[in-house]
Amino acid sequence: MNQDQDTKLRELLHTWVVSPKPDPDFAASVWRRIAAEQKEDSWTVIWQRVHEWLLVQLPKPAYAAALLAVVVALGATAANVRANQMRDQYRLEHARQYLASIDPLAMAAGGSQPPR
Amino acid sequence: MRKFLFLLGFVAVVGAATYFVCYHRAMASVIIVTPDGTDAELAWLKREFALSNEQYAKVEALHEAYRPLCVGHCANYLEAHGRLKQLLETRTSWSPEIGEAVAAVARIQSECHASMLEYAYDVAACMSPEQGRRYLEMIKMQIIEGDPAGMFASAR
Repeated sequence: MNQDQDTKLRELLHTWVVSPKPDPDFAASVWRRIAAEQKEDSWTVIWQRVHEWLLVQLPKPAYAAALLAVVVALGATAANVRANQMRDQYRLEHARQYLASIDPLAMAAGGSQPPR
Repeated sequence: MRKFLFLLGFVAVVGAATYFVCYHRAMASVIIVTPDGTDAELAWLKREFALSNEQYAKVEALHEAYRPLCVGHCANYLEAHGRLKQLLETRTSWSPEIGEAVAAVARIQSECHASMLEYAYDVAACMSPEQGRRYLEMIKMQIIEGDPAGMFASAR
C-alpha cells in the first residue's frame, strides 16, 4: 500500500515544474542593497576620521588655541546679546515704575489704596 | 583621550567664564540701587534721559511738588470708581445716579491725564530738546497705549 503511494507521489513530483516569473526589480534591488552597504561603510570611515581628528589633532596647541578663541568669541557675543535684551527689559521695568509714580490711573490700577 | 577630555573641560570652563564676565560687565551699569532703596525711578530717569545734576535737581523738585497732587487724583479716582462699581452692583435699572457716577469717573480720568501732561511738559522743558522729545514720546505711549513698551522694542 505504502509502496503504491510512494510511486504515485514520485510520479506526481516528476510532473511538478516550478517556473517562477522573473522579478523585473531583482537587479535594481540587488544594486540598492550594495549601495546601502557601501554608504554604511563610508559613514563608518567618516566617523573614524572625525574620531581620530578629535582625539589626535584637536588637542595639538594650534587647534586647541583656535578652539579656545572661537569659544571666547562665542561666549562674549552670547553674553552681549543676552545683556542687551536684559538691559532693555530693565529699562522698560524702570520706565513702568516711573510712570506708575506719576500716572494717577496707573497708581490706582496698581493697588486699591493710593500711596501715601 | 585624556588630552581631549581635558581640552573639552578647559574649553567649557573658559566659555562659561567669558560669558559670566562679559554679561556682568555689560549689566553692571543697568541695575539701579539707591542707597536707601527709594527714588530708583528718578535715578533711572536721570540716566535714561542723560540729565545733568542741575537738570536733575529741577526734575526732582517738580516730582516732589507733583507727588501729593498725583496721590490726590489717585484717591479721587478710586473713590469715584468705587462709587460707580457699587452702583452697578446694586442697581438693576438705569438711574441718574449711575449717569453722574460715570461722568465723575470720566471727569477725574481727564483731570488725571491733564495733570500728568502738565507735569510731563514741565519735566521735558528741563531736559535737552532731544531727550525732552523722547520723554514726551514715553508719556504719550503711556496715555494713548497704556504702556511704554514700544520705546523698548526688544524687551516686549
